Amino acid sequence: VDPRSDELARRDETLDDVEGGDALPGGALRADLLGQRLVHGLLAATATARDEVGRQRRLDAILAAVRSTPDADEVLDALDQVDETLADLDGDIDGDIDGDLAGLGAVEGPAVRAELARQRVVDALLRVTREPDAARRRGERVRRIVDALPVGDAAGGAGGGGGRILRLPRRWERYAVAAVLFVAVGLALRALLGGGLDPHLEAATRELGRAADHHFGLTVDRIDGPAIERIGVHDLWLRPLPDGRLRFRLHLDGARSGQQQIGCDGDVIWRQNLADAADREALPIASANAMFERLAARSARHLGIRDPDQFDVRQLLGLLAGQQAEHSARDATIRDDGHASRTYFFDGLEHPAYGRLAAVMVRVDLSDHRIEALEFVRQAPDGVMRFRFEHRGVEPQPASFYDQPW
Amino acid sequence: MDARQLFEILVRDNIDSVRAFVMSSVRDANVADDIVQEAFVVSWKNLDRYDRERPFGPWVRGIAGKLILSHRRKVGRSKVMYLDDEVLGVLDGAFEQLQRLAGDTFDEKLDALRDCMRALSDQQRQAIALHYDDGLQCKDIAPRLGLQTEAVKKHLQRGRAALLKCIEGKLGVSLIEEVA
Repeated sequence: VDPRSDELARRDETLDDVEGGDALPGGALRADLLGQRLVHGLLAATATARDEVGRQRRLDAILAAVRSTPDADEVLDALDQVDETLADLDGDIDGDIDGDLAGLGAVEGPAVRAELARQRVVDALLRVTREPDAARRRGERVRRIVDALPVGDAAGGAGGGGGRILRLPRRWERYAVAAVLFVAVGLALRALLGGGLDPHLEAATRELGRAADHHFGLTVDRIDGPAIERIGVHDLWLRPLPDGRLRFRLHLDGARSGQQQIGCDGDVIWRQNLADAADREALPIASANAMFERLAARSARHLGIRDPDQFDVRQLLGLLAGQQAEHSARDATIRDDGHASRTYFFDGLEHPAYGRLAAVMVRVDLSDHRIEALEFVRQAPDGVMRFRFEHRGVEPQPASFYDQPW
Repeated sequence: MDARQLFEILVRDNIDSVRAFVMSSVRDANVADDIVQEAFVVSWKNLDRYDRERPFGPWVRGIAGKLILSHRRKVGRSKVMYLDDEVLGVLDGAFEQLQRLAGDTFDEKLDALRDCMRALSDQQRQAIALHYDDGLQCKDIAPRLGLQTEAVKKHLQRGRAALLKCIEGKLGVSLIEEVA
């Protein structure tokens, strides 16, 4: 018999304190008391465990488990022992809980308690990530919450000055930024090239700037060493306007985010979830330039910029069009269809404040002088994100094609 | 855009992380959804107390934590995992660290977890799939994998531990230190 049992037996009052959640004594006694508390509850719940031998065996197992054990494997072994004990004593109460996550919460040895918290966090993450049909269920939950909001403005009059809570991260912004940056890069190439550089590329960028409905396939990949993970394949239509504004419509098709449309009619940028009509938003813009600056600045981190607060899109364009951008052209290649193309690389887009912005690749068809493909990449913490635009041709669209759908 | 529409965007952007936080202490998914809903409704009613210079998600998590404690007091500890302010703070701190993972949305951040699945043994991965994808209990998983129920529990526990270690490796920090 554990020599401390007499001492513990005299501490029934303390056990009551533990039950009541009051402050506990520390150290080994604290662990023992909590072990006692656990055993007490378990034994009380089971008739079969009331023989003294079984009681002591389980007591020893649990007391061993609740003591601090710095090594993670030892902690897990200790948890296993408790699992077995709980299973012996009480197999059905927590039958739906694989590792007795709930029951073990009452055990407060520091290492065991931390391990419990770790297990709980991962358990919750797994339950969230592996939920079937997650996008639809998320939409239903959001709808239910919004329906449950009391009628009228929130406390503090947030409705009157809607901007007061407008710190809204929008995941779709980066796609809008990608689209706008694509055009900006394309247009900036003209300034970059000036009049003394490759006429093929100059002609191609002039073609890109023509007021026509260009259709591009947008492929987003994550590159992690030799591994390339396809994030999404999307469709982009864009039409530069003579006054410098831009119309575009981007169709996103994501496994988790569902199908989304992002568009801009030159005055309003909008987003709509095609699977959930209520999930939509629109933001007016004063001008294409203002939109570009705001979107790019707010999404600057996605472009690999170290200090987004200091980001200035005009300086980005200046970099692309300025002296720091080194470029090189590969020899022309002849494709199977007889068309010749030339690939240009723009590297070294570094800035002391912004870090590495992007590496840009442009492939130009030398026959009809159009940009066939444009790629730019950004550095992300877990790899490199690559945005690749493939030109699929000019497809005339009605003006309403770019309008806000609602 | 009116305030409700703006608030709806906030809900969409934060519901996954708040729900995961609640589910780290509440087993019943329906109860968890109720608590999440209540947390957002309470936050809507108290928006004038929200410091708009700070992120919205942690504020709602704080409200949700209080609701979980209240719920536990009402229904009894058998329905809600052990929880006190200290444990709540530890879990909240872990979710705060998770925000540092790459990705715009919480779902995208959890790509790290999906990626870490590759680090598990076959049996750990199978046990997790049967438990979390198919909703099977350990005793039902055991015959499918030709294991004892206790072995299934062990695979789940060690699988989760390995996943957390992998995520911590990506973050470069420990999500949860020893709790004194």
